Amino acid sequence: MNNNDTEKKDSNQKEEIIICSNSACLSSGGIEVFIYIFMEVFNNPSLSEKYVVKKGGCHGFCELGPTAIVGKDKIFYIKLDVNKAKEIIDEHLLNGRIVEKYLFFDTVNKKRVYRYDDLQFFQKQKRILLKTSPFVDPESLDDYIANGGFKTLEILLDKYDPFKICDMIEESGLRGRGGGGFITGKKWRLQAEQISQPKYVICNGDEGDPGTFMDKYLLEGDPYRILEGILIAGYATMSNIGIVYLRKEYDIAVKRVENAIRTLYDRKILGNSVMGRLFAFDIRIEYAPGAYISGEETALIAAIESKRGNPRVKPPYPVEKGLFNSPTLINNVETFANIREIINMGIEEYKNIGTKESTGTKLFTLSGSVRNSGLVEMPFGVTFNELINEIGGGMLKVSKLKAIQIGGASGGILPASLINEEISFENLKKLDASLGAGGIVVLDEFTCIVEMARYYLEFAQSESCGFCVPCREGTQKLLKLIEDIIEGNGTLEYIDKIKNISEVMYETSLCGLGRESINPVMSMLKYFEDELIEHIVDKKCRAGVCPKLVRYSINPQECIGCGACKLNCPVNAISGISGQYHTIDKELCIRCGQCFKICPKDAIIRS
Amino acid sequence: MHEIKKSNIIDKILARYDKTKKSELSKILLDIQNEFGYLNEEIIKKTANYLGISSTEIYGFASFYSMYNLEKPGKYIIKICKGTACHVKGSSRLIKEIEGYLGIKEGETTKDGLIKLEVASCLGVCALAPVVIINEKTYTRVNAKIVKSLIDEIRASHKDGEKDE
Repeated sequence: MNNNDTEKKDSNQKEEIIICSNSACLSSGGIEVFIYIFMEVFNNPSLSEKYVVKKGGCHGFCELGPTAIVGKDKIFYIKLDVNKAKEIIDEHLLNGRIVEKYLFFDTVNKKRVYRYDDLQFFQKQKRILLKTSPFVDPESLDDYIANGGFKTLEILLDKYDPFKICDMIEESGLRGRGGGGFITGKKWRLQAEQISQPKYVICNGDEGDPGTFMDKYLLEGDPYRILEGILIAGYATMSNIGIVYLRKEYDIAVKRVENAIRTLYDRKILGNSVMGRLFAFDIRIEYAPGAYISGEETALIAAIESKRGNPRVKPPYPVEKGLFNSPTLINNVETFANIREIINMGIEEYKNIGTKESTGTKLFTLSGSVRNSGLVEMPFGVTFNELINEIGGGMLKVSKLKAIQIGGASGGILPASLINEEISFENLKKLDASLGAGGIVVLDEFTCIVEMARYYLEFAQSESCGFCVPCREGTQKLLKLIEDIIEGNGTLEYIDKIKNISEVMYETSLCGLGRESINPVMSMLKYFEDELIEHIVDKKCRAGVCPKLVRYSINPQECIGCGACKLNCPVNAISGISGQYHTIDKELCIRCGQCFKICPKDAIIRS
Repeated sequence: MHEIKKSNIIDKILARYDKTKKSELSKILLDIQNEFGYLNEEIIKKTANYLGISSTEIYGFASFYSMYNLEKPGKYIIKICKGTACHVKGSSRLIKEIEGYLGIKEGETTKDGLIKLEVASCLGVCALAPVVIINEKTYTRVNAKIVKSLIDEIRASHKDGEKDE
């Protein structure tokens, strides 16, 4: 025991080198960097005396990976590879000179940022769920416990009655983060009131919405936090079996959760007597077999029961009749991540964060044409402007913001003019959009909204389970109509047809997929009708995306014959001698627009 | 000989599971698929016999989900992401170009059984779009040229391997 303690003290005194280990960083070479730095420090006694190298959870700035946070001052190195790591070891670790060129360069203030905490991207955020994860090894239970893990559970087990916890969660105003926005505490109470056994608690990690990845990084970066949330839910609802429902494609998340569950059993935090108390709880993993629809509660249950993932009519709700006809509580990964913080912080303080009807913080995944993409945590009530311009660092390159897509396939497309709107369940509903899981894709002028609507319809059509007619037929017909418009064969009657079909789908579809798959189309009609009409009447695509509706040619007066377009043309449709004006072969041209973007003289004409 | 061996392995996997529990189907199929890489008629029939349900029901189940392969997959699986972020950054054109380069459509395998092309709805690496996964290794911020060169590499290494044999 004593030995252990001194060892711990030792490692506390040592400075840490934390290398981000989420899948985005690992895929861009993080594994090699970690192994290299670890071995170098391990093999060099003068370094291993002073430093300890460990993996860290996701810090959300995925754009910059792989990253390392070095020492007490948290010097933040970005975009590492083995060669850069070598230089950092030689210069910084051995000689104490910070290698400036590998630090983050702030393009707004035009200077290098040394410390992790000084980065605007992190400074502007309000991090509650993500606060510790970048500095805690996701594969180590000790590290999690050292950062306050499982203390909450222990206190609850000893001092609180299960119903009291349900009340607390309800009072905190926490709403389901998966998209539905149902009051979590109410769900818990319904489950707690059920008498029949066994009762299940399912953590829904079947994240399938295009453009969303917060569940993935939560599970990868902080698996113990999620498991603690499930355990608390299990105790509060007096359930005995927990299931983590995971996508198999998320291989790193699967590995870490598996490892975490095994460790918890070894340490007797899971099993017949949780933390030595009179409470038995088991957690196991079930794989989501890969269908968008199986994120819907009843379809999810069908998938675990080895049935086709067709949703069924609700009620009865899963809390009454769920998995194997037993009471089942299903919550999203992010919802579970919130539980520990609500209890720790106290309900009053938690309620002060966010808006009146949507309390707490929300994780957003920022991607698309924005400079800093990644995982962002902000309170509800944050505006799109803050997210995109302050945290996101504005638009990529010189392009202008055209629209914001929020909520994945069931969300909506909002125009740039609504950039100052607040993001919360209630306000988005007013705007005819939905928060979904919180995925935000920033779209620039080179995106065609009609084409985006087609993209989402194609997705909905291929993911429709085919069980109920309005959704199966409706998505197909809508897709055909939009495709016709994109091909240049549309007429104005199409708009009425689209409205009509959408209405029927909304009124008569069985589950959320059918009802909400029309959202991208409806928001297109609401906010971008002029662009749609332009496609139909003028046969013109202002973004230059719809191939049948654009033509490219070169203005001989402007062309300087630099050859940039010729070099970048993917199909070699451009010919010309250096210094003389170039021409585009209209037969070969696939209308990709590369030449248009690259031309230094704007000599390419798009019509 | 090979067939007998295969059939034995299926039996062994089936014996691990409770005959009366229909809900184990997904795990059985996954186990078998992990062994052989795909599910064929024989496997489905055997499983159906074991659990006492019809083979059509199993086929209906397996074909519903993207996790199960009902055809023999290629040695290399190229997964191109088609999530929103990737789509905005040109993944649909990338898919078309790779389809043309390989001479197959998405979901198909090349004739020599070397490469299967899959399209995934979102791989969750949106910050680094567009993304391609080749046999569990993730390549980020790719373009058609990079993917083509990766395919060339695969083809070249495979040719060398044949010569060695």
